[in-house]
Amino acid sequence: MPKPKSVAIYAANGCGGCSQSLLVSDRLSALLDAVHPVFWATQPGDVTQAEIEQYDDREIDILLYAGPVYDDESIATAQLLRRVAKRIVAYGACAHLGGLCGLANLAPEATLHLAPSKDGRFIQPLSAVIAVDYILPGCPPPPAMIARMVDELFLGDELPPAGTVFAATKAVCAECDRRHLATPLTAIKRFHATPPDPEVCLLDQGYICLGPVTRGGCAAVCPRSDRPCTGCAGPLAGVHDQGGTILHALASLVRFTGPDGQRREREVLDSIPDIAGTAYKYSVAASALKRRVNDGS
Amino acid sequence: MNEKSGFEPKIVAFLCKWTTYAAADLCGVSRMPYPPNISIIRVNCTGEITADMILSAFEDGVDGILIGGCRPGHCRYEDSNLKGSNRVYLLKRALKEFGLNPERIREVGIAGAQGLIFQRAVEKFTADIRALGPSPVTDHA
Repeated sequence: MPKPKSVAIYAANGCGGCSQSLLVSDRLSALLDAVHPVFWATQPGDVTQAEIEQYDDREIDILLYAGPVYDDESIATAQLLRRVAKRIVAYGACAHLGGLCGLANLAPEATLHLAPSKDGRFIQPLSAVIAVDYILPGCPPPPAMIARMVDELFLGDELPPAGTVFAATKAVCAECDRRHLATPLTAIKRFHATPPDPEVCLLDQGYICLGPVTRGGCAAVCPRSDRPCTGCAGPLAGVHDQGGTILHALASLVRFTGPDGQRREREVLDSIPDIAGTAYKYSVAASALKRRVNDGS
Repeated sequence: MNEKSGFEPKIVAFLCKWTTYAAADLCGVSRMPYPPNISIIRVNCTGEITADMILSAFEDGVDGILIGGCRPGHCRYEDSNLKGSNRVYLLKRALKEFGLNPERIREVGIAGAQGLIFQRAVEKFTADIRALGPSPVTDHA
């Protein structure tokens, strides 16, 4: 019998959702039976830098890292973890993309209760500061993706190739049962004001759904529950900027004919609320621009 | 003269091959000089320009983006230029929330025979970007 893999979970910067997603996974007992747990840090201070330094280089076989990187201390911790871990999984949207916390990057600096890192950055995805071997997307990662990660990474004989994303390569739309009618978009709706038709594509109905630009693998759980996809699994392979790409798609879908068609199209585009918060809900820190800039004006 | 006077803007121009690119070509063969700050990328239609193309250019340190297509109603592909224009319109709204000045993207519609108009448009845009100063995007990939 081969030596069990040693596994550590560092979720100290996260909200706790990632740890919970693992706790409620139906693979938890299989995982714990198969591995040798090293630590499971859920709060800042659970595992200090001094404690991490006690481990030998590459002593931990697999480390799951949840939560964003946000200041010099968390960068230093991530670098230490990189030294002691052979393989690192960016677990959840914050480690993968910066996550919801990344929206802080759009706020004016003076309003943040957060000190920038030495190079003037705020929220960053894990891959911006250390090399990441695997990605498990989602906020929190959905059960099907966790099951796939546990099966491939911990229960399989061989490790999956570096760079594996434990999600589908196709978009959320591929897993969504709603009928796509390709009707032009003539008004933006919000699901809390008007309940959507359960059969028809949410984008067709005017709800801003990030399904077309977002990685699937979640079984389209949000659109199935009458909630538009908010893009937590990050951009499809081949899409660089998830938010910009959904805006591109939305602008293409809005369509009026007639002489004042473009004016009416722009009225609809103007009516999209909280444009960056909608299009870049999880991906500001991983977007092309990454954070708010000061452009004089 | 201000402290920005030594600054030479880097501008990427996405030009529709049917009109504005032809105007740039005409400018060239007519030996009409225009600022060397622009790097021209020929596209089939301005409707072909994706958000990724524009945002990646800014990420790579471009100071301004010129989008040259057909005038409204003159598109070779029905209303593709208007679609492209709507996309840029919406993207500019998002760029504002990132703090980037939307004036760094300019759309022009220049017919293939209007070499002179192209020359002036490039001169004007280069001067405007020079006045805006270097792009604040420093977090390059």
